[in-house]
Amino acid sequence: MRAAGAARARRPANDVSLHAVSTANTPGDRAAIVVRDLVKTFPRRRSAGEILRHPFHRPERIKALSGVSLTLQRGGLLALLGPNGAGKTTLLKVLCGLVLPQDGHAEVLGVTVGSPALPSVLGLVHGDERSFYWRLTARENLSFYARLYGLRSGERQRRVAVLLERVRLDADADRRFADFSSGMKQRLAIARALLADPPVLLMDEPTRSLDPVSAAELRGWIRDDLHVGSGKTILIATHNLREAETLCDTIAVLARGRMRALATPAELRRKGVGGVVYRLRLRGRPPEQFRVAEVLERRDGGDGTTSIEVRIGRDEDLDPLLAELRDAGAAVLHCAPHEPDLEQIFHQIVGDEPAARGSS
Amino acid sequence: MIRLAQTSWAFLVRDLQTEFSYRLAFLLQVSGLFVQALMWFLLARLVSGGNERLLEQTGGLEYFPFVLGGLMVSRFLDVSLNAYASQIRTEQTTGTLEAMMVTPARLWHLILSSASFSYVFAAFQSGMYLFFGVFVFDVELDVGSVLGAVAAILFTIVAISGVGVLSAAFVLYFKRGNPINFLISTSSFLFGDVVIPAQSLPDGLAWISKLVPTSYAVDAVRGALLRGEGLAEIAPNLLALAVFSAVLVPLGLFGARIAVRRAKLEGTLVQY
Repeated sequence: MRAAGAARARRPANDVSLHAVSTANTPGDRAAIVVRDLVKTFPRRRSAGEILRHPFHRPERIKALSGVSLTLQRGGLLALLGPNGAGKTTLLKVLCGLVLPQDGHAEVLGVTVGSPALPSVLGLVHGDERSFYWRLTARENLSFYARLYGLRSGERQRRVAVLLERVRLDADADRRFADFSSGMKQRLAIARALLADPPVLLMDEPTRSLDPVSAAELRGWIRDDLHVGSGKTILIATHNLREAETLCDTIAVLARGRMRALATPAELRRKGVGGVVYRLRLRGRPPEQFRVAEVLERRDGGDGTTSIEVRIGRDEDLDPLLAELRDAGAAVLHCAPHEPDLEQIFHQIVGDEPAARGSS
Repeated sequence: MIRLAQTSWAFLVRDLQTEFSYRLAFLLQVSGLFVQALMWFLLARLVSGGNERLLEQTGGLEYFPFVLGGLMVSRFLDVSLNAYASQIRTEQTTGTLEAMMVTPARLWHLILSSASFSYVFAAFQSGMYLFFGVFVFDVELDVGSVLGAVAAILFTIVAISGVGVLSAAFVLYFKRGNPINFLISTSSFLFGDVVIPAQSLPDGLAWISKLVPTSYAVDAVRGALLRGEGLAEIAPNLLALAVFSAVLVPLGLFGARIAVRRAKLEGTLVQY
């Protein structure tokens, strides 16, 4: 846990806030996923030359997760957002027990990760299309995994049929997996994760290889059927901002193995800019600087007007700002709050940091 | 045990479904068995006719029946030694290992079950060798104990599986390059009394066959099916195989446990 403490102490200035949504970050009885101070490092791969020169040197270790903490309440839908190499997949693999952390704690519905009981409460939807047998049909593939889940003959056949219908593959159940489109493959991966009907689902970039129409359709199905209809708790790892914003209640931003923000999309916008942004059009020249606001952008209209974009701490600071303008002799022609683009916020949070690893 | 049986059945059904999707390959494999038996039959005719010394070295068996017994056992030896590692490697590269590992099936169940179909196919291949030997190449059986032959094969499977599981552990951790398999399969073929009688080996090398489990297994199978020996006569061979099992199986499982833990720590379990 020391490493996690150190990680917190080193939190950078552009770290929006891990406390933005205090209720979502507090473990409790209703917590589905609890991650505390998770630390994971991987040895850096050494070249043959390095091994020959220093055969007994321990390889340098790369931090994939640095003291990551996260709580997702039951029934929540959270996007784990981050650039490539941020540590998203590593976090998912730790939660599934495929990777052991060096430090920290993680549990799903009270089951510690790595416990044999984990598969009954947690399903993983792989983003990788290859994780099926291409010569087998959809039904045969699902039946194989259903047997690994210990489902007996009658129950297995019923469950497979129900799931194929649910993911709208019943008409193609006896077609080979190799003949499926990317969207169909992804739906089959979701059906596989639902074999044991787990209350919690982890999805690793579920729309990665889909065209925009199929991706939107799948997102709608995840939200309406899985989340709202079945009440599943869902954690989606993605680097797609739009996906995170349109699909999820909460967004956790991970960058270089650190949790940089945890908030609703609206809160992320507000907190991301460190206040409220207003756009004003003025007649006359406004002052260069304000006491209560920071000028983000200034544009001369050429017709005696000036447009400015300013950031104030909170909405209550607007009146003092207008008073400053009046005092400076500038008439306000237009004034409206401006919601910044989430992509801007994301870049601000993540910064221009290079990826820590080739693969997250 | 029930979960292991369920998992093994899952793999068996899956691999049968996959095999049936490659019908031509299956026919070619059966043809290959016949060609191999024919090759050994012709080679046996070349070397054995009136060769008293060879007859002495093969324990009184003609060379072709001697080789037939060796080939039958060697199919199971190959599977026990190679199937676990090669299946795990295939599952790694096809991305299915990760999907399996998030199911309730335990990793060692997955490793052991992955070879289910290979064992069934090895039994089929051994049966085909016997069928070709008896009905095509006129080998005369002198069955002393079918139970003894089956027991010898089962003991061989268990003993060599210890090495096979260790070998799968190597694949999980090092991905490629498997010194255990190379060492054991080479030494089994050379010194295991499979096609080269142990008694024909140079004096300085003959002792190695005593350290190779295969030599006990093939001797027991030949005794039970071709020399009319009963259970009591092949019991020393079975006992030797039991001792090998008692040493190799815990060693294999222990090695696999360490390899899996290290691979999980380094995050390379499903990498390839």
